[in-house]
Amino acid sequence: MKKAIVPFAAVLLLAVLPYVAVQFAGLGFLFGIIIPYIAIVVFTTGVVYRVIDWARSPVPFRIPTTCGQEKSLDWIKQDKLENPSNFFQAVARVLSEVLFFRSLFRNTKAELHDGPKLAYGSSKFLWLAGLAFHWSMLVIVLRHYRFFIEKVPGFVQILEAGDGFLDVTLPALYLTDIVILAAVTFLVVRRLQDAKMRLISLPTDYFPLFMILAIAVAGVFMRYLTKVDVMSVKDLMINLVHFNMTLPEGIGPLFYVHLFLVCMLAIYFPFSKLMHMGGIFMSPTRNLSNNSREKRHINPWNPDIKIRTYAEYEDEFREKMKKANLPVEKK
Amino acid sequence: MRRVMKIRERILIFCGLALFLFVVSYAFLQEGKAKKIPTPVAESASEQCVESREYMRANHMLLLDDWRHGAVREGERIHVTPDGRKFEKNLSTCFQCHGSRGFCVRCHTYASAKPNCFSCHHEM
Repeated sequence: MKKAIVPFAAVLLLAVLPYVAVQFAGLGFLFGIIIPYIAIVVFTTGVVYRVIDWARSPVPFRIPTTCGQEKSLDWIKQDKLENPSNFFQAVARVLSEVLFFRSLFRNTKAELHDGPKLAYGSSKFLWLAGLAFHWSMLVIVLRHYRFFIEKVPGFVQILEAGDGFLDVTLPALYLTDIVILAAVTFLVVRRLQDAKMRLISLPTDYFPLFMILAIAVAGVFMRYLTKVDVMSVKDLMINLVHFNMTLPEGIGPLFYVHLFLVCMLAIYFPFSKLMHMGGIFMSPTRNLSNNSREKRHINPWNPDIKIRTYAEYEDEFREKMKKANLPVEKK
Repeated sequence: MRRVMKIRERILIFCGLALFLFVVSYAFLQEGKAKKIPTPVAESASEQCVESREYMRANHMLLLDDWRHGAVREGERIHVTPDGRKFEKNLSTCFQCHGSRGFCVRCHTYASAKPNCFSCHHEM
């Protein structure tokens, strides 16, 4: 349990820190302006650095993981998505992974019954919750453009209208707020409830989940319950993107909790598992086509080995070999 | 780098990175100056509003929703404040001090929050 409690305590600490600092120590400038700039620089350069680092790493051989019929004779039907044989099929496979988490759909769970009998069953909940969480996250992140752009762009307004179409509560309830809270809660509970999952879960699995949960809870509180001054929040964000370092007065401290947690997550991002955002595109087991039988892939940094054939050897030593009565091929 | 990255891979990766950078810096690329939109205040600031300014800034929509419910569904057309002042539950009560619809629109457009008052109440 320590593996879950330590990250939980860390998130709690990170949440309390800006509250105290802004409310009682007047450090609004640090938490409202300096830390966000640091966060965006670390996040952007970190992600770009890691992707370029992966791009520069050698992938000498084809190592795709496949689970379908490889391209073979004409009368054997190829499974084009599971075993792509060209670039476009590989792209389709990566996209199906990125957009729909295709391989997670095959997730199974193992159960031990009396007997003892081991039974495997399909388990779609991880796939469902993962997909729900990631899509909600995307919509929520895009929706937040409304705070950063003075004239809110059309696509953000469309997203807001679609997301709030239920038109219940004031301000209008966003579906994604509910979905993300439910999905992340499920993802935490999934790790905690099963002994096998607890064993393989690490603090680095819990930490981002708790962070995202805390960010979402702070956001939901600001929107629906305790309220902050949205006008000043937007003033601050507009100031930030135009490099005007003035801090509007009177934003509630809860906003700084939300902002600080987001900044910490952004700073943590490039150093952590969250880099699967870039990694999913860069994994050679996923993005390569399986054409090893069609094309010969030669390791590009194979050393230039000087080969010495037996004929050359014999040419050099023929006379000596003859004197020692060793058999030679060419007299 | 001894490995020769294929041109196609390189183009793809740089397109991806460019897309990432575009999404991150989208707000930074927008035109416009950093200027504070002045929060509008009531014209006759002498008279006190239904609730305190802080409460109204955060929760005016809840109050208006309450008014609508009270007036339309329960026939309660008079709002009595805790200190005994009386107000008619009507949008035009608001606009006696708060000008017109433009008073609402300025902030609401800025914060991209769409009030649905004006889908019925047209001329205010």
